[in-house]
Amino acid sequence: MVAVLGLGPVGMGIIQVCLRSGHPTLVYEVTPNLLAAAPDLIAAALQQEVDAGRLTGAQRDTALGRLVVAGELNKVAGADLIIEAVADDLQVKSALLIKLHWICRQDAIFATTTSVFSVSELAALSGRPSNFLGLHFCAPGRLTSLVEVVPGLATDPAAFERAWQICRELGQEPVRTEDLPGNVVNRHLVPFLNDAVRLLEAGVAEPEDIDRAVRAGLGHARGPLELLDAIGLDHHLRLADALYAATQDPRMACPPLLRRMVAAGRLGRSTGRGFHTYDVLRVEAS
Amino acid sequence: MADHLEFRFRGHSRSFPVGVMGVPEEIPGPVLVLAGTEAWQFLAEIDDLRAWAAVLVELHTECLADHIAEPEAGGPDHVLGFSRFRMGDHLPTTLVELVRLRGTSPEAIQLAQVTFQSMGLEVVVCRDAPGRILDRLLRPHLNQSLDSLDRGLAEPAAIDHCLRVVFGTEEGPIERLRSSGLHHHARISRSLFEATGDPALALPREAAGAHRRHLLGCAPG
Repeated sequence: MVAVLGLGPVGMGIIQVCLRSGHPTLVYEVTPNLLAAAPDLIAAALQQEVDAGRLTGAQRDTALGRLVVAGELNKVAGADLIIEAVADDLQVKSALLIKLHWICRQDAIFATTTSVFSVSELAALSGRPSNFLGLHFCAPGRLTSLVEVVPGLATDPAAFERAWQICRELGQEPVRTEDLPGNVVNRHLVPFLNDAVRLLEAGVAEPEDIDRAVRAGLGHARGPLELLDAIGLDHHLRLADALYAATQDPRMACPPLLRRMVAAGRLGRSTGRGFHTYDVLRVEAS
Repeated sequence: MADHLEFRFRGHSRSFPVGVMGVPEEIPGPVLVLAGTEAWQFLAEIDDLRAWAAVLVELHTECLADHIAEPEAGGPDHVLGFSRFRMGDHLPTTLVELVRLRGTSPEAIQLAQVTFQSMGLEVVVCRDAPGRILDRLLRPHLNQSLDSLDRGLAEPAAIDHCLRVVFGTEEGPIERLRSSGLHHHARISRSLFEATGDPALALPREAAGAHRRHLLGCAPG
């Protein structure tokens, strides 16, 4: 059984992936109200997949039948793989991992979804470094099925292989990357998106022209500012701040314009306004 | 003068490497396109630049301000730069970056847009800045991918795969560099580094090596 800890966007996406692929999935969330709402939230997320034509009603019901909501953390004791998807805060993560170490079986594998903190550092804090690794689901249940599998310095190759295999069983596409801040995806994506905002800040071109240039010239499916609007500017800001703190790379630093937009509530598609303007009702429907 | 489009070439044109096809018969004003590596030399030779409603000069890695003054400083307000984006040895894309100065007239910008669009090209307008839009975004990104290889972050195929998926492109950055000629990237990135001093444009080991080999006349591979 897979246990997923955390009901934020990443945790929710991973839960959907697990349930859809036929895995009994145990879910835990530290916030009591969110934990109580978990069955409804997950049912609503799966219903969205039905509405989008990616699941049938029967598949949704079967998937929901695999869901087990753990009322307390002790209930995850029997899980084979525990995926922590809590906030990207080192203290929050380390406190949870220490508790889990005392609760879970010795052969259970712990995985962190962070792409910011060192897997080796978290592994050391977890008390079971040989059975610890990173599983960075890049956009779980949505844009891609890519999972960056990141061994720490002490990760046992057998644990790595087992986690790799589980990713495949979940219908995901595992890719090995080493333990550096951002892994492959965010190490390249975040500065690229920041650079696009800096072009706009410097008045080099309008948002439409920046996006059109990248689509037509570089063959990207979406322009960088469209992509930021889809990701959510608030999410990008948190990620960029964390990666800048970890790397001190100036390209990781969030551009002031984006920071101001977040402060003004222009978060992208979710609020109807980011670098572009959206019809919120249509966005919700899609 | 009739409203027509005239091309003049001097040196190799990266935007129109095999000449011009699909020239429209009519456009809303007389437009002169100066293409090729030495195209800017025409500017000093043309007696009556004002006979043209818009003069479009092909740019490479340089800025338009290298050839004409800002209109507010007495330069012409109907001369624009342009560059059709292409990756190294690849064929040019349909994307034209149209470069304006601060005081460029809106009428000349619109005429230039219509001219290129009538040739089946897609036009974006940008201010005169080193790297314009695409090279300013792409070159640091490609350098970062080479740096990631040197740091052992992942295998080249893994880096390419991840970034193909994330950006929805046919090629990842390493594949793109290999297929288009690493030495071309090195030349552009080095030129932009000299113009901006931005460390993200400094050449990583492999690109610097390709640049040196190219200068020495060695095989690029």
